[in-house]
Amino acid sequence: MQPAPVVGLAIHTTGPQLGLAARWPDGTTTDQVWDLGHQLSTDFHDYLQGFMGDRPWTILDYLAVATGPGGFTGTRIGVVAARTLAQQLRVPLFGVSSLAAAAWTYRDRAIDNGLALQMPARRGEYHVAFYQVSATQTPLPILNDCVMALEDWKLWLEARDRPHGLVEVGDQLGKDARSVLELAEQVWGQGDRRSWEATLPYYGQHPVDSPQSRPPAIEPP
Amino acid sequence: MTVALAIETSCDETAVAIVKDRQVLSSIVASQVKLHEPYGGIVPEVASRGHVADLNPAIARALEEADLAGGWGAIDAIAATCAPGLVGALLTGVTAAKTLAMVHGKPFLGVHHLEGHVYASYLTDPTLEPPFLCLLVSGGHTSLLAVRGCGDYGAIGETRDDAVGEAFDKVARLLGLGYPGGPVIDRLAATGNPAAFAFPEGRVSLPGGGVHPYDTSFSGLKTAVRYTIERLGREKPGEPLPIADLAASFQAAVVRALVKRTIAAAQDLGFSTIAVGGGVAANRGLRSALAAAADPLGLKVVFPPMAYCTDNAAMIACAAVAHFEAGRRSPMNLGARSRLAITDTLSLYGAERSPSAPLREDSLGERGGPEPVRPSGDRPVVGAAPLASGMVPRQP
Repeated sequence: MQPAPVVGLAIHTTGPQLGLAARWPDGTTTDQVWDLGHQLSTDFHDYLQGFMGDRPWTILDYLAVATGPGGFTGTRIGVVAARTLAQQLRVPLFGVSSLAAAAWTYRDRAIDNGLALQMPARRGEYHVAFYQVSATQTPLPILNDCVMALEDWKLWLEARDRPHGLVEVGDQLGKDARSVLELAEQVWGQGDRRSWEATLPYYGQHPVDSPQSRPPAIEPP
Repeated sequence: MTVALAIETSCDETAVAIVKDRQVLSSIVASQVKLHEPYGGIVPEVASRGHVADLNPAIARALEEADLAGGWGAIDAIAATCAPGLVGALLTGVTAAKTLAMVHGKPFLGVHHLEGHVYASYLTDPTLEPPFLCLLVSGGHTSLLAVRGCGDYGAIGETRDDAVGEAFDKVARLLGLGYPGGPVIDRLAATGNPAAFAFPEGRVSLPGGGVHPYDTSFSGLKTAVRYTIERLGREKPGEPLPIADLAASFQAAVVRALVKRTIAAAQDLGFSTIAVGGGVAANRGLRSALAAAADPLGLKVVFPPMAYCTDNAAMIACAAVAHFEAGRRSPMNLGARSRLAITDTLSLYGAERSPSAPLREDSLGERGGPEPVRPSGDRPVVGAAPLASGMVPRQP
């Protein structure tokens, strides 16, 4: 007899799109993306409720949410909703980096298992990360998500001196909800049952600190 | 008997409370003062980030302290402050409140922040009933309101520029007293000479001549303090400033302006009760001067306890209870707004989902439409089932 599928819901709101993905009790997976823009702040719950349909919330074994980097307000909406749902349902919540989710989505672009990701940040900087990826394993961060000037990032990549793929991550991130779900499912499969308390947004930048007042994010390897 | 859980995140306090009619069952306030202290004022993005971290633990504590016999089944409504305030901060509370309402199948109500301050008076005196005059004095607001009923308010007077609490903060910064300014100025004023410096009380001239009887202006007062500090520096270089005298004289001017207009409004418009709300209602100088002026005239003055003067969620829950009992509910697509006149409070209720709903300041884009950009799998059916009342969710 097959074990009952693990039921999970993933939320991605770090860009102007709303992305939702779920693995249902019958083992099927659904994902949907809406271009909500600023409507995200008002209409999020309508779409989430519509996505769940008439299924009870208690079917969920876990929640997953993209924690950023991305838009500050959108990221907060998803994280606050996911933390609140997980808290009330008393199920684990897995926070997944937007860049890790993108690395999973674009894993076929890796070269020699190396995949660099860059996403425009504020003040002319970039959110960057470097993952070791394969078709079957959870992306392993070689360089964790951080913020760099483009010149520093290029230097870092040059210093690495190995072939790699490069993904320019834009703001159409809703489709990565499925990756958030799949990565969370992998973590669940490893026996991880982390609490909602551990999941907070990753912003990368501070509204007051300037790049000049901050030490370099990381030394090139 | 109505029980409401409310969330307040309009500025720099993360607050959750549970109120039964006008009785507070629990009230949790996580202050961000330490977070903003290094910046000398509130940084909106920092406030929003703080709310995300503090909100869910506050929800848990509020439920634990209220110790409701029926758990969520005993709660009739979920509310959140939705205007006015810092939009990013408001959205945090509104999102959490809508999520609670959705998962537990409860009605959601948006509450006007200033109406919450009006309702803080009901927490103080549960027998209080409209009509009465309300003086709202805080870091973001200074208003005189006619309270005629739940959601029924009339604007009588207001500041034309700085809110009174803002004036306290700015003057405290001029005097090198740090942030927030109100408590420290109030403390120093008690030891200084209020007649040491003659500061203006902020009259507002009318175009046709004369002055507005109830409006005030505090930016001129703040400038007068700055000029005085500069003059003292020129005349007595090297000498320490008479900080206590400056604080006492500034506070005396503020209190004089507020008391004069409040008493005038009560007498002119026939109110026998004055309720005071907002963080500046904690000011001891204002409390004693208003009570002293009102008493001989037979006017009753209601001051909330200190805990309900500053931002809190108990006052929001109390207002939510009244609206709930009046049959009002907010749509789930209610947004957060930085500004909304208290006289427009009822626009928060009753509207069914509509693209032209009034509260859409933060909704600048076109509606995305109900169809997904990239549908796949089965099509959802509207209406997820909430947790049944009393149901115990599974443990991980």
